[in-house]
Amino acid sequence: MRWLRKGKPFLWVLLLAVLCFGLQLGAFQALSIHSVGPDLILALIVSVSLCQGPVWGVLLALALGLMADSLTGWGLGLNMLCYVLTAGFCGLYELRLHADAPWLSPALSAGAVLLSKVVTFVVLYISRVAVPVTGALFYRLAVTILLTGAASLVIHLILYRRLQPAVEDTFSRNFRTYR
Amino acid sequence: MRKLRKLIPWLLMMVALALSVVLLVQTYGRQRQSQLIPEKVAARLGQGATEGFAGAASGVKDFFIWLVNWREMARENQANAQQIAQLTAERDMLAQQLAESGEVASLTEYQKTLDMESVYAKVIAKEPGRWIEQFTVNRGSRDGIAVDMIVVNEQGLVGRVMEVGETYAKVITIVDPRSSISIMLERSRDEGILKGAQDAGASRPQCALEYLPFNADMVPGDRVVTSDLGGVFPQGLTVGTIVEAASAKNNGQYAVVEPAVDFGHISHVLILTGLQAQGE
Repeated sequence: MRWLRKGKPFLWVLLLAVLCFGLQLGAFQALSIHSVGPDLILALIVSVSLCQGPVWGVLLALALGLMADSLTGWGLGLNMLCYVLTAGFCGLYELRLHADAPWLSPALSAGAVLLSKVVTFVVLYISRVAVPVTGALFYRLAVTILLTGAASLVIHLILYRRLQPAVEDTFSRNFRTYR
Repeated sequence: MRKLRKLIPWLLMMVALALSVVLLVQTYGRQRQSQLIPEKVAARLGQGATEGFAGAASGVKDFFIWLVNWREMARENQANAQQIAQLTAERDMLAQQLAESGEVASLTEYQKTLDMESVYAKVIAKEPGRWIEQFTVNRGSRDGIAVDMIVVNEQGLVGRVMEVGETYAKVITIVDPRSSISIMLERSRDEGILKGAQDAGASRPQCALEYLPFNADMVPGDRVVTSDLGGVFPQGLTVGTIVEAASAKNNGQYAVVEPAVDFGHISHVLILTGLQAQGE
């Protein structure tokens, strides 16, 4: 049973990854109006990085980024880059100390959405791909940030409550030392 | 060793970033000819997850759309059904008009071949049944129609006028059991009396040909035409064809005649106003 206990975080992350990925690229594509919906993958990467550290976050970002890039039309590497940057930043030790704060995950997710849009815009600009900047773009961005923040709160609550015992050994020890 | 472990996340992140940038450069820098192996594997894995969720989501979406729009859809369905019914009725009417126009054209041609006055009439009422024994036409005394005038169409003799109103006339056909007309066999010139259909259950109306001479020469397939005996009918109007020639019955030979006119589909006729049949 020990292996099951050790593998529990991995199973939870895998389950949430499949769920978020499927919802993001499958269900929300079918359900969304004007292609506006929460970025669940980013929210999940933020939560995993906060709870499990940058290694888990970056590996998850690599896997999900590659899959998302393969299925969407923006080109290979774009989503991956945004996800890896997010995972790296959210996995910072100083941020992980506040992983139990309810505002942190939504705030980081909102920032990650903004970052991903900026990175996308910069890459497309460098590649000389014309992106029309209209009012609708900002309206969509605002709605996406709000929805992603809300989704992130839910995902982080689930993940943090499930993975807390797993991070207790390293994280809380460090936390005590830090204090 | 501890320092190295601390560096692992940074190293991993650097590698991941470098990989992303390389892929981006490959994607946007030049046209890639083929997919990379990790890309193919990732696409295959991602496709499975997204297709499953997309299918389920599509079902959920359709359900909610149905839930929101069911009243409107029901109203649209009703309107569509009404429109379909209206269009079907119009189509049927047009088809009928087309058929009638063809029938009228052939009747007009036939009218030109007749060397006597005639009035074109449209059947406006029929007796429901397998074939018509009586019907009403849209011409009456105002149009010069009188009782016992002969009614024909391009196929042959239809009957005679039985009753006349100001704007209508009732016609009794030759298949009516009360009908009785003088005829002759076109080939042998033998004469007889044609009486209306005797068997109401037959699939096609058949008339009885009676009072033929004992030595009458007739075989199935012989054409039966009107006789000018007594000056009632013009000679040679087609009546029908012998389908069965039987042995003597009471007053001479007996035959069964199938009328030339298709009484099941009669809608326009000509009334010969220059002639009047003598009602028996």
